[in-house]
Amino acid sequence: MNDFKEPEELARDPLGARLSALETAPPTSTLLPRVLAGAHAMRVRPWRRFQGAAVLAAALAVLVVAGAATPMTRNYIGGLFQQMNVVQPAAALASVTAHGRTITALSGVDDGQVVLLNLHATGSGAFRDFSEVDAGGQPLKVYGARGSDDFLLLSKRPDDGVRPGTPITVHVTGAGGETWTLRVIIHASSPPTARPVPAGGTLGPLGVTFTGVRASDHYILVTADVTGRDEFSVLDTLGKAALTAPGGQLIASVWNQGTEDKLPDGQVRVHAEWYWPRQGSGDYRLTLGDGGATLTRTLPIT
Amino acid sequence: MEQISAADRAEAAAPALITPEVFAARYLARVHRFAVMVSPRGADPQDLAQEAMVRALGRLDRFDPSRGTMDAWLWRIVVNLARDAGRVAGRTELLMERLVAVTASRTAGPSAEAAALGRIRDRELIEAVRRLPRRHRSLIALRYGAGLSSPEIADALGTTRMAVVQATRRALDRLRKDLEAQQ
Repeated sequence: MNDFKEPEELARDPLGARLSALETAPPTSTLLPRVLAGAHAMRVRPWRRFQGAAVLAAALAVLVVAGAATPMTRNYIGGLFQQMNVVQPAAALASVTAHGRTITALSGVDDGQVVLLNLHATGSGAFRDFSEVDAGGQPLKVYGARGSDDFLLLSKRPDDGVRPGTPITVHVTGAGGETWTLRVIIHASSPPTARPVPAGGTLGPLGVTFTGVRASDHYILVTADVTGRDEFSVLDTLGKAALTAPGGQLIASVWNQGTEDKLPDGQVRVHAEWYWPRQGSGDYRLTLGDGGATLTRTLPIT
Repeated sequence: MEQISAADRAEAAAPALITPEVFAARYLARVHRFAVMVSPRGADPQDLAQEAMVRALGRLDRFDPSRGTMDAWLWRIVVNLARDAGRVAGRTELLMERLVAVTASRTAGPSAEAAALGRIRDRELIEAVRRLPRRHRSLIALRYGAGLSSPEIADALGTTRMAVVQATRRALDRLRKDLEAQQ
């Protein structure tokens, strides 16, 4: 291996040299503790490691059978729902089998504002789209899905929609256009209530204005407007948000979301939303940023 | 290619001495840099870096120095995970890439290009990399994010060195065209 000589043209490529010198943002300060704690961040399908169609088909068949024969285990996404105090009922909320795949709604949160659904899918392939409609026929605003075969779907009920605990129809579209439809009823829970909003501040070149803190029995929602010179710098920094529970442990994020506005002076303002599982009552510590610039605030959640 | 250092040899002789903290300190930044470059826009690179490091740490006791260096072992884990997560192109895609005719075109000489590249901000360049098709992004991230040589990339991806060289050239050409189009 050591006698291989890189082609000179490639070794001297100016763009390659520029890429080698590229300075990427360092890992956030919370990444190392998460790694050392052995906290899984993703769940992916191990069968993709196999190469060759025959091996792939055989491996897939084994996994589908194994999946059907063994009880579902709690993975990263399932763990998030556990942390949110969401009890998985003995029977699934809903299940549909079509196109060789079964999609099951395992558990969820429906507080009249936010709907969080823990779905499990057998088989392979990505999903292209999700949509949800309430019992009155109004669409929910679907934020998106996180995870792979076990995933989290986050959406918001319309302001003038029907009450929580009523049926929601979930449409899932596969990469090839195939569709699955589930009718889910999630036990209604109390909506989040407003908590004291911390003072804003600066985070290096970014300006941060907190616009709300809400907490339910299941989650804590923090919203803020963050202003900076470009979307990339703002969103990159917003990804480095960490919440520490009253007990001192770092809390895994449920969801981060940002929508942007262009300001007249050319700057970008991002309306950010962070969702974390609630871990009891007390003072939570919110830290934005990493390395040089950080902004830390205490959130009393009682 | 990077030679095996004396430290690596000592580590190979006594892998049990590597604590998770030392392992993380040695590799986390590099795995994270790779994840930043290989993750498409909208995907969190930290998720990939975290999962890859957790997996590697979980298997640290199974690392067998007689089968290769710890670097090679780690990057196989990272690439497999990234491939499973849909962020790294598979071998088939890379082989398909070999069949595509080389249509490299440059509108400026190397020195003029180097000057132009110097004016591009790091963030803009990372954004351009993250917009590349997956097969190109994979090669760029492994070479310039993880800092692997062609043989190391070939080992991690399960393909040949020449396939890696050719695919890397094409990835650079595609990125170059994208950057020129932006200017």
